[in-house]
Order: sequence, then C-alpha cells, then structure tokens
Amino acid sequence: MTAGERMPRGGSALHVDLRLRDVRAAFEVGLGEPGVTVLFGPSGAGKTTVIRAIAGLDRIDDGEIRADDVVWDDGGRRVVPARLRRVGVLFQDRALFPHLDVAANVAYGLQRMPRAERDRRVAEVLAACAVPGYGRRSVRELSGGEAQRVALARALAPNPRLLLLDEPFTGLDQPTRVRLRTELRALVRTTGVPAVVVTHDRDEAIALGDRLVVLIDGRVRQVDSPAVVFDRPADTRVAAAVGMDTIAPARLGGGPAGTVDVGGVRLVAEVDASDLPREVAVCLRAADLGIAAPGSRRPDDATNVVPARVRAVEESAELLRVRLDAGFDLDCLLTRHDARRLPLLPGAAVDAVIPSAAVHLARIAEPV
Amino acid sequence: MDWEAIGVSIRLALATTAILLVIAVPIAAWLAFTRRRWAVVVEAIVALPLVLPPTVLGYYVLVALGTGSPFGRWWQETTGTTLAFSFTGLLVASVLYSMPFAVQPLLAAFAGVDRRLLEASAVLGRRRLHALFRVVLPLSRAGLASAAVLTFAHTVGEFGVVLMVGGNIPGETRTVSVAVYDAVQAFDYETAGRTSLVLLAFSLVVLTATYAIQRHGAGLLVRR
Repeated sequence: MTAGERMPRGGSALHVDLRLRDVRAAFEVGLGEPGVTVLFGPSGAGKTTVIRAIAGLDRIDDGEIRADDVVWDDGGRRVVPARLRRVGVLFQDRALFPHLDVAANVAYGLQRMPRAERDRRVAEVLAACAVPGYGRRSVRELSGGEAQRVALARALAPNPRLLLLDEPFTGLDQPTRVRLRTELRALVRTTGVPAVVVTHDRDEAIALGDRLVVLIDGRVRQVDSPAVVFDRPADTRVAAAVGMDTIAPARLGGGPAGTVDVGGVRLVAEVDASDLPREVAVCLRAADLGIAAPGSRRPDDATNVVPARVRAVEESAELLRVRLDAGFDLDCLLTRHDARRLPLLPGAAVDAVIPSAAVHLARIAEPV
Repeated sequence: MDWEAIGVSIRLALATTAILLVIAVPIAAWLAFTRRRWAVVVEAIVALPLVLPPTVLGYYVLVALGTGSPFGRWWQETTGTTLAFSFTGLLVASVLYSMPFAVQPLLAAFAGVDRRLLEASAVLGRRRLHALFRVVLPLSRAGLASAAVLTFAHTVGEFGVVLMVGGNIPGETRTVSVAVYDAVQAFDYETAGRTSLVLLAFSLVVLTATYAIQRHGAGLLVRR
C-alpha cells in the first residue's frame, strides 16, 4: 500500500485483503457514509475479480473479506453466501431478467413485503433512477441507458449496504455516459449507499470517485483522492494508467532541492523529494506545457525553459499535439490559436515551457 | 382394432411424462449448475438407456422389481401386489427408460440460461430454488416442451422394455406396440395395419402440434 491512503472515517468498513488467482488486493471501503470508491486500472488488471469476490460470486483463495467484524470469506471454510451479504451489483451487461417486465425485475429482490408496499418501493426507486412509470414495459424494449437505469433501480430496491458497479457505462454513447454518471453521483449521495465503481475510463474515475484505488496487474498501487492520483501518481505504472504523456527516467539531486536531471536537461520541480530514491521518473502532462519561439522566454523559479526540436505535429479539430525532442521525448498540447505564430515544422528549433509545478516525480515501478 | 391397447399406451405415456417432468427438472438443474466433478458420472447413468438394448434394461428392472429383490419383497409386503407384470411396474420401467429424453432437452435449456442472471438473483438475496422457478424454468419453456413431447413419443414407441417387464396382459400391460406385434405374429395383417395407422396418425398430430407451439408461441404451453 502506498502513502497517503485515507482510512474511512467513522468505524463501519468493508476490509478487503484478498488473493484470488493472480490478483492480490488490499483496501478498505467505508460502509457508514455515502461515497464512491473507484477501482481504477487498465483492462485485465483484476478489477472485476475483486468486486466478484466482494459480492460473493467467487470464493477467494486466501486472505479475508470482512464487513466490520463479520467475516464474509476467509478463503477457507467461513463464507457468507452472496444472497446474505446485502450487496447490490450492477453488472456490466445489466443482466436484467428478459422474461420479466421492468417492475418485476425491480421487485425481484424485495422479499416478504406486502404487495402495496412492494409496488410503492418499486415506483420509488424507478423514479429515483429517472425511469418513472416504466414498470409495465418489457426490458427487451429498453434503450441502453434505460436498461442501465432499471438495473440500477433493481440493485437499489432491497436497500443494499454497498453497491458494486462493474464498468457501468460500457456500451453507451458518449452523451448518455456523461448524463448517467452525473445522475449516478447524485443518486449515491441521496440514497446514502456507498458504492464501488469499477472503471478503466479516466474521465469516469475523476467524475465519480471520492477515492481511487488504483489496481494494475493484480496489485493495488495507490489509494488516494482522484486529484492526488492524477496529479501525483505514486509510480510510473500509475502514471501511465492516469495518462501522463511524458514519463522519462531521471536522477534527483545536483542543485537545489527538487532539481532533477532528465536526459542531460536540468528541471526544477516543485515537489518534496525527501522520501524519493535517487532514480525517479519525471511525469508531465502535455496540456500543462507550452511552446515558445527560441529565446523569447526566460526561465525563472517557477518556469523551466528547455530548448527542443520539433519531431512531429499531430493535428486534431481543437488541439495540436506537438512531439518534441528536448533531450528526452516530450509532448505538448497547444490550441490552434497558440500554435499560429510558432514555427512548428519537423526539425524546427523551439523552447519548451515547463512550469515547475507541473513537474511530477514518481517512483520507477518495479517490474511485476 | 385394439382400442384397449391404445388406451394402455396413452395412459402409460401420459403418466410417464408427468412423473418424468417432476423428476427430470431437479436432476437436469443439478447437472446444469453443479461444479462437482462426478456430475459426469450421473450424466452418463442418466444417458444409459440410450445405448443399452431395451432387453438389458428390462432384465435389470424385472430383477429389481421381482419378489427376489429386497425392493420387490418390500413392495409386495406393503401393497399386497407385485410390480413385475403390472401397469405400475411397467410405469417404473418406462420412467427409467425415457429418462434421457426428459433430462437432456432440459439440461440443454438450463445450460443455455445466462449465468449472469443466476448471479443477479443471488446478489438480490434469493435462494437458488427461487431462481430455478422464477428465472431458469420460465426461460426454458422450449426445453420443457421438447422434454414432454420426446418423453411422450418415446414411451408410446416402447416395445422391448414392455415385453420384458410388463408381458402381455390385455388392459393392463398390453400396449399398442405389443398388440401390433401380436397381430403380425398371428398373420392378422388387417388389424395390425389399422392399429399401426391410428398410432402413426396420432403421433404425427401430436408432434406437429407441439412443434407448431414451439415455433409460434411457447407462451401458449407454459404460463408466462
């Protein structure tokens, strides 16, 4: 576990410390307060494995899953079956019962409840999930977004103590994804049910998460707020997962604190490097950087100015990605407006402008 | 024309179908959803009647039901009747003999139900039995229909097992297939022909109706 983990406050928590096949994961999820924990990582990292184990759909090989002091699975004899865990699951493919209408799907988990009360609960959660009055519809006729809302209503209806969402927005078009994730975030707040969302999508992770658990190659590599994970990834693998455009090996030291040597270039970084090893990696986001005509910008404490050559320019509708050789490979994103007066032909000499606050240093991840 | 034999055949087929549907559903459900390795052994046992000659199966059933076996003796002491050469004995043999024709379509249908739905049922707090009745069976209507039709048709067509276990008692164990065989043995081709024709027409009608239901609306057969 990396530094900076925020322990869930206020007691009640799900403690996960498991090994299942080649996945080992340890983290905690608060059960007492609403909040979204995002289990973030590239495909194949073991995210689905982890939530299936929490839901009770797969047994763990070793370790322990424990809700407060009730052991759900200890890899041995003790196991609480899925149906008794009160964990709502939103499956990636929704898994609605195709032969039941919307109301019957939502009512499926409502046990021993008088009919009138059940109908009221069904109407209530359907309304909360923004599909009011859909009860009599066949689930086969629903659009992707509607099916997702109905599946969410079904998961919420029995009042679970924890909600697990596995890649909840796959297969939906972009506007629907954005709308649904805004709704989902609000819904988790209002219902007060803590949620674990599995995603490999960076935008989703940032938009939804109060807390990120970064899972890569079957290991938890960082647990932090989204802002910290995305701005200050703990190691190079997390940096790659959060989309750092430049990740270059570097060496600490030499000059004043926070000075780092990258491919023969000296950069000033506004970081506390006291607990980092000497060999680190410099991580930069292309959007944080700028390009200036040679000699037109002076370096200062807050700004590094590095001479570079243009290697290539990739144009898109709004932005230009300029690939530079500054002694190390460096990507910059420019608006078309900013690019107008610059000599951006391959081979041209320019200055890369790198704010020292944008220079992040990460540990070099040991190979798995 | 041997109407009595036709009656015995139909009664036997209906009773066998009814009993087998009740027995085959839990067997097929267990086979479809268990993770036990020895499930394949059970599957093989259920399929045995497909490969065994009816005479071999009939022989074992006869021995098991006869008063020489503990079960046969117990039956005789409890009910005062013998199983061998009775309609009940014939029914027991029929149920065993047609078992694969009920289990295999159900097994195929159950295995075709998306596992994700069963997982959804579990995390919604429901027992597996609840999922069987509310999810698996409703989604297996075509399989249920196939199981019923195949069992019925297969029982009507039984011959070897009937001869071995039931013998040839009119109104009790003498089925259509045996009646046709007897008629032919007695060179009564006219009776044999008429009885055969009735059986042929009946089977064709039942099968056509069933396939029509399967194709155009399984909802007619099993309540949604």
